[in-house]
Amino acid sequence: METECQNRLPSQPSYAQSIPKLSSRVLISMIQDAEHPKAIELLSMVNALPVSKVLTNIQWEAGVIDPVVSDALHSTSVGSHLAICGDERFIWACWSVASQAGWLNDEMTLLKTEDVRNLYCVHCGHIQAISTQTEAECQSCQVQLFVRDHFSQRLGAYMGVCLDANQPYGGEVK
Amino acid sequence: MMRSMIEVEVTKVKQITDVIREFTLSPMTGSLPGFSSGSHIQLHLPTSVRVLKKAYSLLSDPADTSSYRIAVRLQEHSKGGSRFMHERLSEGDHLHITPPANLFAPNSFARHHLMIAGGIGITPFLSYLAEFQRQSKSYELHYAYRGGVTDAYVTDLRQAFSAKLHTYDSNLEQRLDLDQLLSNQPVGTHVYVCGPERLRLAVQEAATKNAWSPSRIHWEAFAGAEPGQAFQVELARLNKTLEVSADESLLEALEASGVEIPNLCRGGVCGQCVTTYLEGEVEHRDAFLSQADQSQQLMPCVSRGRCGSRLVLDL
Repeated sequence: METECQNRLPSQPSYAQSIPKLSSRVLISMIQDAEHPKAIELLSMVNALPVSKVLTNIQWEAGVIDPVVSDALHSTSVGSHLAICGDERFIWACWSVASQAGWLNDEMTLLKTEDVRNLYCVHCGHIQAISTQTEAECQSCQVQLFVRDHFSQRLGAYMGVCLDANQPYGGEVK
Repeated sequence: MMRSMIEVEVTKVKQITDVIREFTLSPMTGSLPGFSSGSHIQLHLPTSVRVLKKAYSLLSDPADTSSYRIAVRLQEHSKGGSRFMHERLSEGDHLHITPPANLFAPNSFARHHLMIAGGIGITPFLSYLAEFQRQSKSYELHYAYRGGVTDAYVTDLRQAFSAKLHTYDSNLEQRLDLDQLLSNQPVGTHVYVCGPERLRLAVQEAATKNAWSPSRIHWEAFAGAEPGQAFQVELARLNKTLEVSADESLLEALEASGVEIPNLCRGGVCGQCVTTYLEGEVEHRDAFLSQADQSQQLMPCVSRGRCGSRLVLDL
């Protein structure tokens, strides 16, 4: 475990394997797909807490979170816990709203369901969805990108840098 | 490297309550270094026995660098610091101070600031309030004191911040219900405590009970080193043996013998003075080192060698 941690970049996100035992009285859950086994596990434990609020069908793709969700994140008191369950794109979209509302990392449990993540092209600033691959072509500037483990929480994306220094521009070499 | 000292003049001494005095320290020329809310300075006090170094919070507005203001409570069991300040220091005297350092800054991401002060622990919050007002931050101050004794600045605070000030006078049996207070704070709140140790422990207990993340809780060490028993210390590399008397700290004894050790808080919290020891039993009194680290390191500002044990430092 320790060796694994030593090889990780400090910015590389880590996700919970399961929901920890909580001392909080309030749990808010943001769930992307209620049918996923991790979501089902999360939903099975929410009833054990005195207060629980489950948020599903969240509109997040456009970068604007539903005001109902935002209100729920703002109106709770310190000592609450937040579980975000979904793919990495969903997780970091929700994380961003929660952070702005004042939530801290140690008050959130991030449960990753699928391997869909965001890639940020450091050359043109485009963000696109990728899977687990370590190389990708930027959809905007066509530069071949190497997908680094370096992750920006603010952008919710992994950094993509030019793969081949001899091929710094996208498209055919003329 | 030790920070360069600044010479200042005591330009005003004001009795605030029976046991609390305020001192205004002005520069010999020009202005003083800028500081942020929650900063402290160290005063070097030339008492008859030795030069005592004491850390005090700056209570003045950080925007004003024409002078610094501090307030000192006369401690019943003073080792000489607060007694010197109350009985010997007067207007026109010159002193040496360190530039300000901050171990108790407000969290800049907080959406609401909850300040809890006990008695003279109000001082850092006076500099917070000036800044919070200027930046239109959301805040509230809970101030517990003994009326007529430790209620420093309460009248001024009532006038300026009445809507955000909650006071608790122990003479009137007014109690601060921390459990209730911490059970209902909006997400994004950070809590700051300054006051006696029992107040800090009570806040931490209430915070734990209400499932607060430890990163939301900030506190300032309040008292300096407590006295203990006299002991002997050997400095392995310098090949020296020192006697530490009951009423001085190990750090003070080291400094008196010419051994300079970086330090900021002199209260066991900042970790600057951490020193490795090679042998001996230590009475650890810091709130910084982990138990594992304490097997090899100690903080000489507060911790002491056990009486009768041979303490050997890697110095």
